[in-house]
Amino acid sequence: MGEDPIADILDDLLKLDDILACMVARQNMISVMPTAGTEGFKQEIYETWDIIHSAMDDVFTVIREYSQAGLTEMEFNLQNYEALFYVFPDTENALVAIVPSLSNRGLLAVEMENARREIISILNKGEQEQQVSV
Amino acid sequence: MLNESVKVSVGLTREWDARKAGKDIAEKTLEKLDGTPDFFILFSTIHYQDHGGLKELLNGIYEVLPKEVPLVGGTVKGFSNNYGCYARGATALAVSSDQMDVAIGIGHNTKRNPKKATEKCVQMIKEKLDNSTYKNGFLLNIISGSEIPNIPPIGRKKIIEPGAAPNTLMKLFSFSQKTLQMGAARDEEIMEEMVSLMPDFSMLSGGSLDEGSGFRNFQFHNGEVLKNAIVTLGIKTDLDPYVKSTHNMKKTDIEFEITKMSKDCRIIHEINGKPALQELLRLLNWPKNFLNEETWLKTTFYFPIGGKCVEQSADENSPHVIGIILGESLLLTCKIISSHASILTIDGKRLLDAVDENLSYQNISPIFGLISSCATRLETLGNKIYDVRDRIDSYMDGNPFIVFYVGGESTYSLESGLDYANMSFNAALFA
Repeated sequence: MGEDPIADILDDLLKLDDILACMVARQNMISVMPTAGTEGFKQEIYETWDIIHSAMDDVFTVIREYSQAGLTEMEFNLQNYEALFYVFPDTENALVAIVPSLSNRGLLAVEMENARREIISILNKGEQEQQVSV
Repeated sequence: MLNESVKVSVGLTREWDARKAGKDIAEKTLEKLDGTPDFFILFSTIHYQDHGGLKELLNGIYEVLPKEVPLVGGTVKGFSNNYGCYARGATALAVSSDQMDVAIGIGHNTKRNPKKATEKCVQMIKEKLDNSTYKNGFLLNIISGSEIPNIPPIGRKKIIEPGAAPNTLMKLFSFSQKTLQMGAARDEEIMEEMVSLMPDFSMLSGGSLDEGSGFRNFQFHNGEVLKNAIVTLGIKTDLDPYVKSTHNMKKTDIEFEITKMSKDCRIIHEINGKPALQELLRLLNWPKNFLNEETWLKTTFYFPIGGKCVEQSADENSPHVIGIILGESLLLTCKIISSHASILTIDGKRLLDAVDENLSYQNISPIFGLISSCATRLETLGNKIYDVRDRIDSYMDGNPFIVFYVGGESTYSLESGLDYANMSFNAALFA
């Protein structure tokens, strides 16, 4: 286990065969990477990473706009990959994962949801601790 | 609210390593139980086979669980319980009661000779439970699920293109089914036999699976990892088991006649007097290349064939998923005994409604529940499977339950008969 519990959650996700890359991000910024950073991403995504990363930022424009209105997930297909965005409610941040286009999405979605819930729990705990110390 | 003579607990592990996971699941399940359980039911996803081995999972469990406690279970595509929904990990349910008799039965070579496997299994159960004085009997059957057949020289594929003569293909398939035991689970045959041998017992069943590739699945009996087996937990108890199956599939207006079929009613050769695959694609208005290995998960599962599966069932529109395509023939995951059939379909809302329909039928306050549900429902709903789980959690009012996602499911009771289907939701609730 590393020092950042959210990075640990991302490390766990990355152990799934079909998760090629994952992170917590917002527009123009990757907030949390897995412990090994981009070097922990699966080899096959390296070639396409730059363009996917660029497309991600455009998606975050929509997330920023509609998260408060209840937007919970977004996705796009680019070449042979899908980028999945699991939005943290009422924020501009999302858990993002890159998967192969024909992966078994149902099972991945369950684990993405679990990761989202765990991250939200960590963030909420952090906020509560801050409030207590104030 | 727990009946005072019965203690039940559910555990969960998300450890990656098999041995650590085994120890973890046993500790977490037993810590809430306060005593030695009478039985331990275990479901795990297949990944432990690649992270230490399933045997190590069981070894880890028995580091904590007393050796005399019987364990049954198998690999599943995913599961839900009081803690959440998971496509990776293991879950267990343990029960301790001083008013219950327990037996375990096993039968081997289920794909080769389901009748013999069932007879052996039943014999073991009856030896221990025949003299029980408790009023209700219940069987939980975990049966080895279907696997993609191995058709030489093509190997293991969901779609075998027309190429070899149909007779040759059928012979090769038969070799895979009977000799290699890679093929249809034949679990509906097992259930028919089980019902005829133990008609007074209520039953819940599910076919073990891997993560979706269809190449392997395993069953658990105590410290053993088995293949092509049925493992059965039998109990006699004064608790009342309530069992119910629902699928909520909708019939489309596409109907047809099955005009040629294999003797075992599992392979459809002709529809409306024409080669089955060609005619099915025409009826669905799908171009030929629409159906391939890559689109499989997004196509065939959502348009199952509706027909009668087992004689004892009243359901004339039981969903049958196409397992593989053999040339122009369609191998179903379970047999179809009606010549008139239709195409069924479903949407997300109806998938959820199947849960409400099932639970609202049983107006009880269960103290624990076991639910076998088709893995397709998990794949279709994805993270919305939490909607299913939350409905069950609310109904169970905090009491322990496990939903295990399998391939081929059924319930049986003397009152309702045998309900076997694919893509269904099947609950066994104890009150």
